Amino acid sequence: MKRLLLALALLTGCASSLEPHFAGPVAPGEDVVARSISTPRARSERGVVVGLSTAPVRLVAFDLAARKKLWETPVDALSAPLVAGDAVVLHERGGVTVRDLATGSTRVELGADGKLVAADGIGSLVLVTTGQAEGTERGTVTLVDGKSVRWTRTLTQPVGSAALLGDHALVPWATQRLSVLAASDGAELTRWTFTGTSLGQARVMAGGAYIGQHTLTRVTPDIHQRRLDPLSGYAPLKRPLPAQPAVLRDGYQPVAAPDSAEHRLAVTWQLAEGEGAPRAEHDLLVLRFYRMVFGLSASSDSVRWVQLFDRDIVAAQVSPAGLWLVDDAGKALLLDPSGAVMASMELGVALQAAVVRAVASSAPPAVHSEESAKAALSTLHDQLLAAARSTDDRLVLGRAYAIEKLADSPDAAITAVLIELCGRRADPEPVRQAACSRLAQRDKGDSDVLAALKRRGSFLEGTEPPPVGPLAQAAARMGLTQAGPLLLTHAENPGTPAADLAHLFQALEKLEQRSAVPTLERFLRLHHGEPPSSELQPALSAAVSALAALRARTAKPTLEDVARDELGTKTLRDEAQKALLVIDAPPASKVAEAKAKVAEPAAEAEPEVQIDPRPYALDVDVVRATLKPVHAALERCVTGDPAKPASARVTMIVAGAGTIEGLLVIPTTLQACIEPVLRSIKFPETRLGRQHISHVITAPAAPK
Amino acid sequence: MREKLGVAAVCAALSWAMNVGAQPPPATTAPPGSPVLLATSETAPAAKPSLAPPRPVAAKASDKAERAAALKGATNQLESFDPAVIETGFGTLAKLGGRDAAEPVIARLRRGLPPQLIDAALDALVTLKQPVAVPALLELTTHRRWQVREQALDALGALQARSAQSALLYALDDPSAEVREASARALARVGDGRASAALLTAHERGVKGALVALGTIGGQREAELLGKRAQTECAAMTPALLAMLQRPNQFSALKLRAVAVLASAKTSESTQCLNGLLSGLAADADPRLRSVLAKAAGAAPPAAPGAARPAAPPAGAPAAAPAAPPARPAAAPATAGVQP
Repeated sequence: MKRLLLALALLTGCASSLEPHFAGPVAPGEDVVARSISTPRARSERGVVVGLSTAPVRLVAFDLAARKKLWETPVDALSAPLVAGDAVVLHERGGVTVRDLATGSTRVELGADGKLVAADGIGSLVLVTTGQAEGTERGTVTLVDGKSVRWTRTLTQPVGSAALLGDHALVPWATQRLSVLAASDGAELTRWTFTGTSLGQARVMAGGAYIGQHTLTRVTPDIHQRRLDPLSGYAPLKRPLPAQPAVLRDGYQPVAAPDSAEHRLAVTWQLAEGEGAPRAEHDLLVLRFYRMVFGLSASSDSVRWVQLFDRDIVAAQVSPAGLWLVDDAGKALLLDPSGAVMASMELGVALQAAVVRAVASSAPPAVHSEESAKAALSTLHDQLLAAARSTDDRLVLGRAYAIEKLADSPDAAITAVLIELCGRRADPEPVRQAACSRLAQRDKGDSDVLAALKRRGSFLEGTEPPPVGPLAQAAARMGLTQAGPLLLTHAENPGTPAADLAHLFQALEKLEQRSAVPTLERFLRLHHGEPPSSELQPALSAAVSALAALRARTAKPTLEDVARDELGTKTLRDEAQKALLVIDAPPASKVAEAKAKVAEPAAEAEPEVQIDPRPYALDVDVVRATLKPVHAALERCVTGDPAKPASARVTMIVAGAGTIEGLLVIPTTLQACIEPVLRSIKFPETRLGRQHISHVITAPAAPK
Repeated sequence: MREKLGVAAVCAALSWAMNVGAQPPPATTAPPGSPVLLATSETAPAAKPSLAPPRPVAAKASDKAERAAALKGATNQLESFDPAVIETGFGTLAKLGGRDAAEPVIARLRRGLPPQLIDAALDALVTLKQPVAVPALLELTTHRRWQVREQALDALGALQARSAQSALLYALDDPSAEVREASARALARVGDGRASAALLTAHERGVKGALVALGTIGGQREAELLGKRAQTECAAMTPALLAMLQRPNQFSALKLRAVAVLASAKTSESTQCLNGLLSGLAADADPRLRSVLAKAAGAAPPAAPGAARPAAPPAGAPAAAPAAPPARPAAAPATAGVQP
């Protein structure tokens, strides 16, 4: 009986298991999805240039490998084109349009709702991201399959640049979210929120899928497990660049209009294929700035090369073969990673915006050998110099950047270059500012600094003054005590810009130029009544500081006057008061006092200053020899003055014939005495012509 | 201010210009707080001066006590920290006149003033016409404000400060166009032949007034140069030639030389230029010069009313005019002659 019951039970169970049965659909787990998207489908693409011509606007496609135009068609474009799979995607007046890459014919029109944000594709499948429709934050992803739309998904949040991986689409949205959609029907397979990372881009590069915004992180099978942590991604080293183009474009921003400057001010780089940590192809970060192209190191803040082209560069692409550039005249160039032009190709159409998709097979045969191309390249120094000296008004920031990079070199010869660039007053301010600020920081090239300081601006002679302020700063950094008398000459020249005076006085202080005390005192005395808004205020403060640092006891009456003069600014009065305390205080150390004592005779040991250093000019020895017969008379003038100045400074204009044309004595109370004495002498004739000469007459030491 | 300078200074210039270079260093070079400035501090504290004029200016020069009191009061006003009071002090001192009134102005100027008060101080110095002001004015020719430099140069010209020529030539190369022009104006008053080369260069570089200054102070060489250039650049040279031709104390031979050189071109342009000069001459111009110009231009010599008809120049006078020695040698000493 028991056996019978067992047999019945077994039969009953077997019968129920033998009924027809269908399992419910099961979504793949997160692990499965993550593993799947970490290996995107391989792509086989055609190397092309697609661009928009200048008016009348036409969309034009060129085959790089075949070196021929594929097609062109008139369009009313609102954006630059994108190339995705076998298609060209363009925002046109009627909406976002997907065209066939081979023929240019329209495959799909996606309508006028929203702007083109991104497009990615594999073969005939094209994933188009649109967004920022008027008045909404809505974003849409659409998968186009051949000539039809397979599916469309719309979100109420902004959608970033989506990527097509084959069976899946990666859609970043709302800055931190990533959805994986099934390519078959657009169903959302999974959604991850990356709380530690900004997401705006999904890309397929170098055989892998990447996500990110400021950096790109490789999508790995465990990507979803890291979503709560900041993802460590790759991007070329960030650094200040002219116009600050983004190293990675904002994945939520629409593609710029055809005439946007974005197409001429951009950086380009590409991930390199291969194992190991992500890195930039050729370690190259390309900055294009109108017709200036910088080849930067992606891993360090350095310039590898600079090229100045005849025309603006409107598209660039780094590829294993090198760097592709397309200019607005319709020329495509292939450069090797060192910047040498290896090949070029005339597209025959002037372009306002373009995109290059270069593949290994698209590299044309090089017209130059690698050796000859590199030999044609000038040195980096010359390249940077040519860029810095460009006269194209649009390149101002690029020029300034070239100057910055030029100045990174510790080579003493760079100082002369910076002096020249800083002194070009007709140049735009950012360019000069870059040169001047870096000149002020130089600590090599003292002979160039001295030579520049010897120059003097003259209206009658048509000569420009040197950039005194930065030169003074450089001289101070270099500890150039020989520059002291030259700086004094500029301090007394009304042509020296007010903005330079503060630096000049600070340099005199730093160089411990005690011979500058009369000049500083006179400047302070004459100008301390300037209003608070005066551009001289920094210089006045610097003069007070210098007088204090130099312990200028002879300037005490003036400082006392300034300290109590309510017609001057309160700040200056306070500073003068402090300076008086410093002067009256005992020296901080014997060493400092000894230094001051050493500095004084050193400054006075070089009484003559030759302003013009050219050959056949009056030099120090000639001036000294010429003045020797009247030296005693000049000294008597100084000692006979009731104010008992320590020295007098004579600035003369000496004609080529050797006669003194103009003469100014400081202190001016000595003019009446010194001028007749100097008028009695005649300098030797020079071939140079008119010269400005400064001469210091020192009062002889009082007999003990 | 230039008008004031131009008229006021000329009359007094002769009396002291010769002494400018020989003046001993003025007492105003004393540092701030000198006895000159503090002498009146007991009667009127510097911190609270009055806006009102200290005392009425003495009606009679003989009233020394009253004048001294006014001088003290005005000097004291210069110690104020109120710009209006200081300006009043400058005005009072300018009215008082004399070297003792100039010295406090100079001392205050040299101690440094706000820009608007420098203007008032320079006005006072021009009115006072004291050569002792020259060193202070020279110092201001290197002031950072071009307006101050310009005023200082105008003042030096107005004060007929011959010793300032070198500083004026230096200022001819100033970065400011206004200062360069002021320098040329002043050189026209106090310059001599040494300034010619620089003035010519300045003219070539576009400094306004440089050529007129050249015509005003130039010698024979400049006369020939102006005449030669007028052959082809009549419009540009006419003001300078007129300035030269109308110099009242200049040798006629110099003027005749300029006319002769111009006329020697014998072109329609030179004839037209001579006619222009003839019509540009002032009514009281030298009748002989007028006659020579008219003859050179081929026009009938005009008869100056009330003036004896000048002796007709010999035939071909302009071209054959005797080469006169330069009015002032190129290397003339700074103290030679005074140009009005």
